[in-house]
Amino acid sequence: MGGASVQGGAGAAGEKVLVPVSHLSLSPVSSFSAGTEMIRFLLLFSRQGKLRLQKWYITLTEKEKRKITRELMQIILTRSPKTSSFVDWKDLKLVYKRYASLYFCCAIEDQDNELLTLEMVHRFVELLDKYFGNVCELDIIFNFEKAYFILDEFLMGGEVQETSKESVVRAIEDSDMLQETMEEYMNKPTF
Amino acid sequence: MASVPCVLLTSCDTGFHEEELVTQIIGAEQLPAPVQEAEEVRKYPWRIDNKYYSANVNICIVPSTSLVTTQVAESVQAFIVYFDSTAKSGLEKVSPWLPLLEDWLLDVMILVCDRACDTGVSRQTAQEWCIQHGFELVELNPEELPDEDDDFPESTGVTRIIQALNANIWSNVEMKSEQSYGIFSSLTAMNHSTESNGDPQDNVPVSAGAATLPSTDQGRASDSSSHSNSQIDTIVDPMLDLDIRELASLTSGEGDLENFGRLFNKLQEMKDKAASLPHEQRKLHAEKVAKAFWMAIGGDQDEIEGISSDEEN
Repeated sequence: MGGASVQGGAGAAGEKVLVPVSHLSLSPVSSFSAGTEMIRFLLLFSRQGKLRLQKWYITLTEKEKRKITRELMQIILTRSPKTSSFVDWKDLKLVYKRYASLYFCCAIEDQDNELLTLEMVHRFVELLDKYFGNVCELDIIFNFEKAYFILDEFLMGGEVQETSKESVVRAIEDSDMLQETMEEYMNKPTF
Repeated sequence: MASVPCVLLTSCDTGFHEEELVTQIIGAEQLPAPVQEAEEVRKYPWRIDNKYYSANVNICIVPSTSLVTTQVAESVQAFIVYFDSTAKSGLEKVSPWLPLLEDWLLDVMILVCDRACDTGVSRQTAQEWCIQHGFELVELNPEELPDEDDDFPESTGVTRIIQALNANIWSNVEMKSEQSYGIFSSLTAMNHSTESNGDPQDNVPVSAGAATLPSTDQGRASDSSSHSNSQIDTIVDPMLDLDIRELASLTSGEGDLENFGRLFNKLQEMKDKAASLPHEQRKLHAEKVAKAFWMAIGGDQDEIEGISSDEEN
């Protein structure tokens, strides 16, 4: 028998909800998000300007993303610690907060609530902290996929999908368990 | 590259001795004697050890750009420069390094001073310089200490330098065991060991390498005395051996998604094959696969020795 059949492949991994974007702005077509808190994108970077995690809830080209990332890091890293956590940027608002040496930065729309966004960022940090136990930059570097899993359990399409911290933690534990079971299966195939 | 990665440390302030910083980074009371690399280039070995990896690096003090040796240039992976923030021209003295850094494209670049100084180089100026050149600013004695009420305080001074050096993936990192990809790494290792034993197909009947697993069928069929470590016992069913090898080859290289998918297909295939066998043979096949897997993932042979079906009968 020759090589195993090539099929299936990348599959469903990395499927995301794409929100249409008008050509003139970074905001999605307004009818799509009327009245709800929605994060356009979330960036996590170090004091040194190293991007550690990025999540885009709007469709942009890689080139645009890189440009925005560079620009935002520049804006935020040069801000003095005493200034507020909110910056007007283009037709969006940036909401950011530093945790240890990492900056969490979200872009939201004009009518969105900054304080609510800060709470969302804080919740994400709490979730990371709970999972890793005293989360640090190294955890995000070496277990970035877990950080993404946690984020995806918490936010979907830029909106909070799960408000319960316990439920998010449970979902992550379940998927960890599944992964372990898979490894077990691979180790000892049961016939 | 076998050479030990180096952290290039330099001071652009004649009043500041690099050794001070080295002592604090290494955390030793007294610095070990440096390894003299070339004239005025001093090397201090430092072991980085954190929850994910450990790595040996050299902190190399190179006083000026003209003293950069080929060896340093080839092994440099981080750059730390101290400058005099009390002088307006403090940053200008750093600029000779910039062309070299453009070449090196390092992941860690840190600009150090004692404390930003409004009459010399202000925090804002230093910070802007850093953003422009991809550096991080670290003040050894910042004016404001981190807020004690902050649950996630920002580290400063040498602590921050050490942290930044830890948040780098050095070329010679040794990842700690829990971080390995379980079966992927072990199967890959097995695959390499069989490859090094020459063409596996050629020596299937008495194959070497991974084929040291005990087989039961031939042994039991011919002679009941061949339980122990006789020749025959170490023979593997050629077809099964091939299956296992293929399985292993699927997991070699990057453990990417596609391979992972095919790995499952292959397992399914083997399962289907077994399903068509009569009951007794199926059990035998299952046992062989399980044992082969056990050996493939680097399991200890002693552990499976006693559970052979020979004993049951």
